[in-house]
Amino acid sequence: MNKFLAASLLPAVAFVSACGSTQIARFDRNGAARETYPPVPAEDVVIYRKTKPDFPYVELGMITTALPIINLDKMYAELRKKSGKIGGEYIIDVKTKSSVVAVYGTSSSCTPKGGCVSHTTVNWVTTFSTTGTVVRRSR
Amino acid sequence: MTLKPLIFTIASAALAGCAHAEFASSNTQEKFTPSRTAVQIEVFKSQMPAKKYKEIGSVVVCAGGKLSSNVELLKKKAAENGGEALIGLEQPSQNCLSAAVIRYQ
Repeated sequence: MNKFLAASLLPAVAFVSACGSTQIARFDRNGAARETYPPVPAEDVVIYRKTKPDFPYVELGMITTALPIINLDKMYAELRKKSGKIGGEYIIDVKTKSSVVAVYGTSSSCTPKGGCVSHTTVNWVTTFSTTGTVVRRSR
Repeated sequence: MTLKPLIFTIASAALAGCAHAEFASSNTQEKFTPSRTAVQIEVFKSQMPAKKYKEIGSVVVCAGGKLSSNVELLKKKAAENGGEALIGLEQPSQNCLSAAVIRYQ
């Protein structure tokens, strides 16, 4: 019984692990000639939900991070680290939301006589994601 | 036997309404001393304050309680971290509320 429970939860755990990641989609405006910027220390990256910088800036890309539980500090730390690496100085228009998704998996159990049955399992997993726009002051 | 602490923790969380409030600062280099109590924190959802302000962070609360209790928790967390008002109040999920924390300039 416990083995069955563990097997049915595995896909959910794998899904959450896979989703607990940070991704950036760069807005390359020059095609193949990607502009590069010097990295910014993570602790210097400023995060705003509602404030727009009052100076000209260039959008470097969109960033998103997801966790199975809401943990703002951890999410913001991840956003700062990844944005800083591509030269982002600010992350603006930051939004946090949650979603529930179905994760399907299969497991099988066998009787001592050798008969085996395959089970389809469904686990509902909640993930929290935070997205924002990575920007840098125009120079 | 080993399940007892886990059951106790879950039961305690359930009794406490599973309240979970967090603050994350906009700028890691800045810290603000509290200047208002929770009841003095203003809340804006669709409007913006008329006065000039600076965004200092973000708050989120996930709790199973009433909506009004969750707003109170947000205000408490904002006050503890030097906030003077909340703007852009949103409901990212059924049990959660979040907002940006600001200070007037």
